[in-house]
Amino acid sequence: MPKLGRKIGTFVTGTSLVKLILRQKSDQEFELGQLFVAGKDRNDYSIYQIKDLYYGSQIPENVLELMAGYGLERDNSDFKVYEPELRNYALALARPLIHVKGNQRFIPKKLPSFFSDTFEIDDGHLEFFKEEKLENPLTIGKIRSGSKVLETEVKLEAAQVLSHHVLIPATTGRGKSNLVKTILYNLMENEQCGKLVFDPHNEYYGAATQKGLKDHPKSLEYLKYFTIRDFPGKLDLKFNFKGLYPSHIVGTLNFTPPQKDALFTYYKKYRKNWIEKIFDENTTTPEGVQEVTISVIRRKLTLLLDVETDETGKVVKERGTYTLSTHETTIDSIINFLMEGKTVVVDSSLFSSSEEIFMATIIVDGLFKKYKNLKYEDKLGDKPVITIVLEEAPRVIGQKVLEAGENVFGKIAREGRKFKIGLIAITQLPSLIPREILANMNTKIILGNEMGPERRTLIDSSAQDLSDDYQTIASLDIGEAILTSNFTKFAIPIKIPLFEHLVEDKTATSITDKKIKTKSPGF
Amino acid sequence: MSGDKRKNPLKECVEFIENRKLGYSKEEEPYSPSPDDDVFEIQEDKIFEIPHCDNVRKMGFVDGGNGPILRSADFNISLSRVAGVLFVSNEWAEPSITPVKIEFYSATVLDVSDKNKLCYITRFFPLEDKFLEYLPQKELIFPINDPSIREGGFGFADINDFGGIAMRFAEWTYATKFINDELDEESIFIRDGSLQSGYTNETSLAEELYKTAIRKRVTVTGLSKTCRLFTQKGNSLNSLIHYIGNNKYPNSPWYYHPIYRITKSQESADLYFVKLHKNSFYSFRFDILLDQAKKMSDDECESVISNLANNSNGLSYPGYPYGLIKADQLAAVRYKELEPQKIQLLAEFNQDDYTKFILPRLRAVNAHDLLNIIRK
Repeated sequence: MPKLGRKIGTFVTGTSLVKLILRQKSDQEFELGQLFVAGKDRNDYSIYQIKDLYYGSQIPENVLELMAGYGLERDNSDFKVYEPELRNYALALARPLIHVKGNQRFIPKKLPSFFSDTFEIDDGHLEFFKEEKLENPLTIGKIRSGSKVLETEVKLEAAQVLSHHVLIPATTGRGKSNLVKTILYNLMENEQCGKLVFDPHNEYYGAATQKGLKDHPKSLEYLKYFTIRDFPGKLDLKFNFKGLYPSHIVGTLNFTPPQKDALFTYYKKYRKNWIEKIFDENTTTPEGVQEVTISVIRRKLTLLLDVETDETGKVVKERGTYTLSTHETTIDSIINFLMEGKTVVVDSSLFSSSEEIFMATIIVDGLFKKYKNLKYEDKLGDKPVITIVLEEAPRVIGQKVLEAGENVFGKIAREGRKFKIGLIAITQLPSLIPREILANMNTKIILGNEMGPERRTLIDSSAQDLSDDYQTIASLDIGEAILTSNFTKFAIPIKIPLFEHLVEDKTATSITDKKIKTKSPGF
Repeated sequence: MSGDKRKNPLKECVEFIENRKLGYSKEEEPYSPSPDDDVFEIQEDKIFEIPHCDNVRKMGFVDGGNGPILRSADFNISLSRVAGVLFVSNEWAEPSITPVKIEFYSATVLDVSDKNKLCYITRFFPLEDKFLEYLPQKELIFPINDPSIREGGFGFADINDFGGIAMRFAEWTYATKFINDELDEESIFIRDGSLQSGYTNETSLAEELYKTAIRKRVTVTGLSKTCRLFTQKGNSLNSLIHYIGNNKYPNSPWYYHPIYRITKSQESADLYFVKLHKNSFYSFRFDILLDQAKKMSDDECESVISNLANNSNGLSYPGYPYGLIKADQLAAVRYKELEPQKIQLLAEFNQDDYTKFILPRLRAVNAHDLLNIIRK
């Protein structure tokens, strides 16, 4: 019978199935979040996780305090602790994660037997992760036991996970950007998923001194970079006025009800030329719209679209991203790239937050309409899933924002999966997102977060019971995460690889592949 | 009633003690009820520093524990445990042959013996067959009027004390085997308590142990946590010596000798008082078997004491040998474990017999327990 591994402790007792107490073997060091196994053999065992640690002693507490006092206040050179390995020790609180029997997995429902030994986990215990053949894998990271990283990779079915939304909550400096870059890098060649990334810090594409998605060996083929910067290989981030709809503008700026009515009236009357007509003072004001209302709208649009007009209201200078004359196909191009399964990075780092939201709204609205139409035409089946990466997600799907008025991101969060569009929502403050939307985010990759209310929000909305992970979430180091998903049997502790290492490894593999290829014609 | 205010009775009580117990007189010696015992005047120059232990010797410690499972007026069932702890080079070592602890039930009944006399009869029931050889081979029989079991002031012994008596007997038999199989020349055997063996037939078991130890050249000793000896002027002997010893050596371990040599057949010991660690708050009575002590030089006796002190530096209880702490832990019978044993035991009785014959016997002594429950 194959042994389970190296013995690290023994179950002692427990107050319930999810609060088991085990004693640490004296030559071991238990860690918060550590995984271990117990059971009959390698064909019948359970995986457990340590949820808390505390001291155990055969010596009464007041005597322990006295012992500490001797150490502190007396010359302790001739004192001795006899049999320290028996008398003082560490105890751990643990819960079972999954039971493995043969090639089947079950949610644990049985207590381990009294004094049953526990063993260090190794990759052999996680073979079932490798056995799952995925058509369209999304690699998140490697399984982590406490701070020890195992070789087993965690892969999920990309289309399924991405269409059901992903939430990445973490405070600054815990590895959010690294995680997103890693996901996008691993998905780069996956044509079954289109990736739309709004990049407010211009950190995903990469620069001369900074590794980014551009360093993927296939980036020329699969990566499209839209920016207003002057950068080799970039695509112009410019939109024609004709691509704009009143709903884009209403979702970005605050308008009074008469102003909103005026916008829709102009659109109804002039269709694609509606903005041009608003600026043109020679246009007859439609019936029911006050001249003063139009003046206010003109002023707001001038600021939003970053244009200059002359005294007649005619646009004489286009200083920013919006133009009357060219770039009528930018939105279509982006959508087409996405439908080809490519990664589109939109550099919004030079825009204000409201400008960024406006631009994102224009693109996403176009995409959503397109996929909706395809769905109605019954042509969506073979189209790739689209995932939209949103930084500071509560700006568009926060409780207050959605209460002020529905927007396209809210619609996607609620019903996007029907149309194969999902969000990768990144935030430091998940508590600002409505519960209903949080519950819809079926996969959460939880990075370190020390803010109590935020941790509570995550625990309350997770796919698995994380009720005893309150401390663990706070103690997650950079790159350490808990993956909780409707598509995994249990919440998996993972380590996200460092993006720079991933790039180096991939580049090395790619060079090796090329060498093999050059040899192949000789066969 | 007089108008005088009566003092607080507690204060009066304290004054009564203070008037008699604040201070010691200069010339004192132990009180001995037997003219054959040697007693020595208490003097400061009999206090010595315990030297550093240069010759670390093998040590064996034995202690027992017991608890009643079923108590009645005329029978008793108890659970007892006796444990042995071996220290080699002042580190715990697994005994090679002897079990670390033996466990047994003892059942005692008050019944008429073969000789038609009313007796307490105790029989041993080891939990495992292999423990049998470590227990007294015969049942214990005490006539009801045996003076060694009689409680002070009362005519008869309490049958519920026999669990403890059975444990004492088993301590001697287990310890004899322990000395024989685990200890060798120059080893030290330390018993928890004095070397007194007061119950009828206990002395013969103690003598068997002494014979074995003398043959193997193992020194037999006993360390008492409590000491009820007193001086001729009514002071606690231990507290008086502790006072003097700490005055002379406030920052060192020390021992006091000679003070008292007991020469009775059931207790033959040369007594020491020892403070085994400089940071200890306690001094203890320490006995060395008199026959051996007589033949030992002062250096040899000192070596025994310094070995004991060397084992008394455990941070959890400085000044008390760790070997005895461990033996106590291993032998302890805890209240928590008695209740499940009781349920198991009651289940073994035939239900009808239990109701007719056993329950009334239990009720004869458990009314007080019921009162305690009601009081809560």
